[in-house]
Amino acid sequence: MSTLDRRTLLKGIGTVMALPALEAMLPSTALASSAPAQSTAVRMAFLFVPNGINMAKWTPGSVGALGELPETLRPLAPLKSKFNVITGLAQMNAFANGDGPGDHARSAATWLTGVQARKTAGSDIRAGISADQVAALSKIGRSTKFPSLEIGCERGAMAGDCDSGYSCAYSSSIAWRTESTPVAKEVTPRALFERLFGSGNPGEDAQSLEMRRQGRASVLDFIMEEAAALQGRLGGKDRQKLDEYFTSVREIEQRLTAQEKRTADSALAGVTIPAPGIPMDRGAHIRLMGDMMILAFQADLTRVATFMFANEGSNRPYREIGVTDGHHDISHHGKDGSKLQHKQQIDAYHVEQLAYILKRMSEIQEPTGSLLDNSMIVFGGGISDGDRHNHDDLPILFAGGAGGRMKGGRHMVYEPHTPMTNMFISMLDYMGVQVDKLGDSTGKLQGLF
Amino acid sequence: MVQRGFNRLSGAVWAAATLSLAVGVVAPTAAQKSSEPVPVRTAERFASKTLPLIKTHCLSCHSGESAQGGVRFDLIREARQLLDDTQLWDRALINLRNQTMPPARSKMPTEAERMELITGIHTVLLAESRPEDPGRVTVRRLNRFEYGNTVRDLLGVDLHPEEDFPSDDVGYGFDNIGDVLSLSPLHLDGYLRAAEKLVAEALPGRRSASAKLETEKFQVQGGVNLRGGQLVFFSNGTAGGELVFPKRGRYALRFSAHGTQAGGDLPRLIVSLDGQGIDAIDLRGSEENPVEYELQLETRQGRARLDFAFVNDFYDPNHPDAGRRDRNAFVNEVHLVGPIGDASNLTPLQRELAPTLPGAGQERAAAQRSLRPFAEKAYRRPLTEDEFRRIMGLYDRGLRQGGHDQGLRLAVTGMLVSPSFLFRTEAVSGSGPAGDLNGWQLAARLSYFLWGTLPDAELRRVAADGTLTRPEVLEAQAMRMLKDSRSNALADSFAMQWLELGRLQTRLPDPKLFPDWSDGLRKDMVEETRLFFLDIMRRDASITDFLTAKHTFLNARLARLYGVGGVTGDEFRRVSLEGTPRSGLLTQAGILTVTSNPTRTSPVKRGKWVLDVILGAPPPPPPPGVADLVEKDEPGQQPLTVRDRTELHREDPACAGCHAKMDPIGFGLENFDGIGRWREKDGSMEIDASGKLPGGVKFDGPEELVEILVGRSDELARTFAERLSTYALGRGMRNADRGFLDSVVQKAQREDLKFSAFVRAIVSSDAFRRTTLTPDKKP
Repeated sequence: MSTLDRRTLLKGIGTVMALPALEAMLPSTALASSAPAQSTAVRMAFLFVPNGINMAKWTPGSVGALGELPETLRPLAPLKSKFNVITGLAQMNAFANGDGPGDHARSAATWLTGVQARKTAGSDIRAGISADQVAALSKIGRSTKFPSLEIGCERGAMAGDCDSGYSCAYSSSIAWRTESTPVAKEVTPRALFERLFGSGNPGEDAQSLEMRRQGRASVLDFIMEEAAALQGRLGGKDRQKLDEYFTSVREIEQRLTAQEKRTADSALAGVTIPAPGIPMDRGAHIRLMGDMMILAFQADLTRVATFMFANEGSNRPYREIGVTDGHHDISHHGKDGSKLQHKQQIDAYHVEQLAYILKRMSEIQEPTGSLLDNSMIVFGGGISDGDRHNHDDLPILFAGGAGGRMKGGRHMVYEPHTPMTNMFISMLDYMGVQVDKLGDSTGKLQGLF
Repeated sequence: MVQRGFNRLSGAVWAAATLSLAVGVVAPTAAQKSSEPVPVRTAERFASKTLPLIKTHCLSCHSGESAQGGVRFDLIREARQLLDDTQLWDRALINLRNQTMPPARSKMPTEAERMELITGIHTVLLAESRPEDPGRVTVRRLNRFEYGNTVRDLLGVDLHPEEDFPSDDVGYGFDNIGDVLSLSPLHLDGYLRAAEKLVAEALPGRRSASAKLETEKFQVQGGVNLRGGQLVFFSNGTAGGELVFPKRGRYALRFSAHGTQAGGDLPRLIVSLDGQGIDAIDLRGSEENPVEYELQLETRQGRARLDFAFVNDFYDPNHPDAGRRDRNAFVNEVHLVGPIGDASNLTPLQRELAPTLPGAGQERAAAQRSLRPFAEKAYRRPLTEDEFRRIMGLYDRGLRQGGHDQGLRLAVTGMLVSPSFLFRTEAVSGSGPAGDLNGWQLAARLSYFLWGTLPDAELRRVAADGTLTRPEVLEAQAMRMLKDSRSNALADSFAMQWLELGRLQTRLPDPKLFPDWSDGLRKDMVEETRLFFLDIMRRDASITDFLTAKHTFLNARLARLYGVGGVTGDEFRRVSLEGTPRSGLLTQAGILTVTSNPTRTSPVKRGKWVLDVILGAPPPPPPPGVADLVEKDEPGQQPLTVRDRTELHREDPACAGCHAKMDPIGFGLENFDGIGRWREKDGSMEIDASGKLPGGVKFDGPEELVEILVGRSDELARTFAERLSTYALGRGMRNADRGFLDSVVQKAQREDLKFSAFVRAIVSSDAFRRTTLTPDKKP
């Protein structure tokens, strides 16, 4: 793998700084020539948008080779050979199935898990392990510093106004580490940067760096013992909570060891550190978070990511493009022409940001093609029509070459109600992770690769 | 449509319970057999009196396969069946109370029959409240708010690292619910980074004030030259100046000096303070290799004169070695350091843990002395020997690595990411079905409830000596804490969540329609309601003041929005609302904005807010697939007000049932626009702020609406008790908590619903002071 351009610049807001010092846990031997061991690693990302899609402006008119793109997909025209539109997939367990209202909560909770989320406003939340986390917990996740990356643009709801008796955890998470543990996501660009690349002081000398590294190792040993001792004294749900703690400590320890083996921090020479805070402009925010996801892929810090452009049910207006009503309000269009048009505008705006991310990935060269060629990027949502709240005929777009196996430029149409989880089984299988079943899957998705 | 679940007990249900007191509903006694879910007398009364009424008034719709809404009552044969679906019966009670069931077209029950239905059902539901089940709270991770307060109070630094943490999970309307708060690697990453940053700030390298003396301004006598700041003694002479000692104490004088050698003696320099010699130094060293000297001096505060005197000049021009002919002295930079070991140079945590560095070999003992009380504070309980040994193990590693301070740093860092710090655990051992919390556990419950932070010294004292387990001490402590300014945390955290004002952060009113809107105004709105809540709490007023108070708190910007004159500047002040249509929370701009859409008011959202937040009777969510309001006027038609559009919406029978409850309340507030400004017109049309509630009560305008709501203060009290208890305990309310909440409301009612009465009733309850010991069922 070629070393990365030492002057790689992240676009977006921020100030240029010198090479940031490495975080305590990084070894002090960052060599410009050290390169990720595996050159053909395939990356996987799931990009989520809420409140359904104006499907009339999304679904291509014909099956097979993509002709003229529907209005919403037009920003992707230059990349037409790099993606497929997939029609017919469904998440049947996101329907009420007797649980009553709460389609937004279920949309997000089911999107990558394929299971019926338990209807509860708080205690005993339960969905299922998500496709990305299956990869993160496998050897794929174990071979990088971060097993997976969870990012988004909106924090979880801060006040108790969740969807119809469903916990807020459902509508603000798509990644589930276990069936009771959604994975928190990072929404602040600066915090994401520091998590990925460290926040050390540029002037810090090797001795003090080594002291910090050793200190952190000691602290991790210490808290492992603390947790083990405490666990003996607790039971039931308390123990579950402590398990989450254990898992987190282990992951961080594992990262420490993984990092000893390999580093690609040279990728960071001259990157732009994002300014603190969150950009007001949603497009800028998505692009900035996307930049860092790309950088993390590029530097092989992780191979698995989930990215929520917005939380499910989000009611944010999109003033950037002249939409002053809330996204959720608009999605209940009642076939009103102006609402449908506004919905399409928001959809297209999200697709524009997707186009930016895909284009950048296509420009990063790796020995066996571009980063995009070596990736599987799924973009879409868990609701089809925002007004009907239906979870079949889902809007799904599959981009990237999957390491040369995926042929793009097609509109693939499957039987109605084909489980979307079948696609995940195929993707995981392709990454070398054999899974018999995920949620409601019935097998692989034929003809995907 | 987004909204809360129903599995919370509702105010309306509780209001019904108040009425039931007359018929002697008391908490079930311990004698009651747990095998019998409903006491025999209750079951008999239900079967003989209540059930026949259900059959008469409900079965025509709610029976058989095609029962309305899928709700069947025809299968009910005995009281215990009600406990199979308490949520359903809660809703039934709400509907009976609101008189929305039976619907108007049916044969209506008499008032006495309606009361019997309410009391009979409520009494059965109360059967699950048993003293042996005070409830159990899952270990609670400190949420962002609590973490920030806790590290600030524990370490004495104001860094707010929690601002970068992921947002906390919310359950039952609050972000401090143990069951719901999860922890992911992202959190632990954050905790580790935060601990390192905090410790670096709280335990920095030691420093003393050090000042370079202005030697170039020294006065000289005899053979001295000043070469820049260097004192050059070419012959016997004195150079000196006045020093200012900021404090009494020990100081160090540091300077580098050298001499040129000649004759048998070394050049001698006398250093004196106010004429008293401190030291006589025989200078070694050379120009290339000056020597560093440090002189210690004790002095009082104030001015003193420092002098350097060269006293043994020697000159031998005939010495064969040109380098040994002339004896001179040179003093280079002079620094005054100190006061040494003075606590004012230390951070609060340094003062607490290590005001002075222990001598060699003494470090470990010193660390043990200072770390144990610190750890008790951090873990909010005494430590086991094993735990303390582990902390000392961490200290030892740091000690070896970088000395005493480094040992302390590592130990404190470790504690800040230990699960015993990050989680509030309540391990209670015992054999019975329930056990008492100990003093430490009560102290932590109290301090996180009322202050959102760890216990202070006073609480730790009564925790340690066990007196906090005495109810009168517990209550007294709670009252002390409520009066303390730290209880502002209740306004910052509880009130913001109860009133759903946190969501104001994400509200973006259309700037074209609301040019007054700004981020500053948003903050002002939150501040108004926060101060208003605090005012009621500080005056210990009745919670009905939340609805009726004829005053509020405004600054100039908000006063302009309200059309109130005479308020200038950014400072908030108390402003009377007499003579205006505003009163209480309902007419505050923050609440009115958070219940509006970006472009217009939403009577539906306002109505729902009142039903949920004030009356505790949230309406069910709309069925899927319903159309939203028509937003645009048809061309050529009479323009419509928001009210007109909302009324149109209600023509759909599928919507009418619930919207008949919600919308009228919202109509009563239509005189307030999407950001809370008073208005007489919606577009070109006059506002109609009249409404008719289910049951036929009519009103016109916000003042009459508030009057009606005050008449339902029982429901407000129930709702407030339920929300405050959820926040205080960090868990959702269960059907089994019905008796506990009954008692909170009764006690508060005996004290005219004073704010403090709720707090006292909650902290003195079994739910707060005891815990169920039976292990959780595996989910």
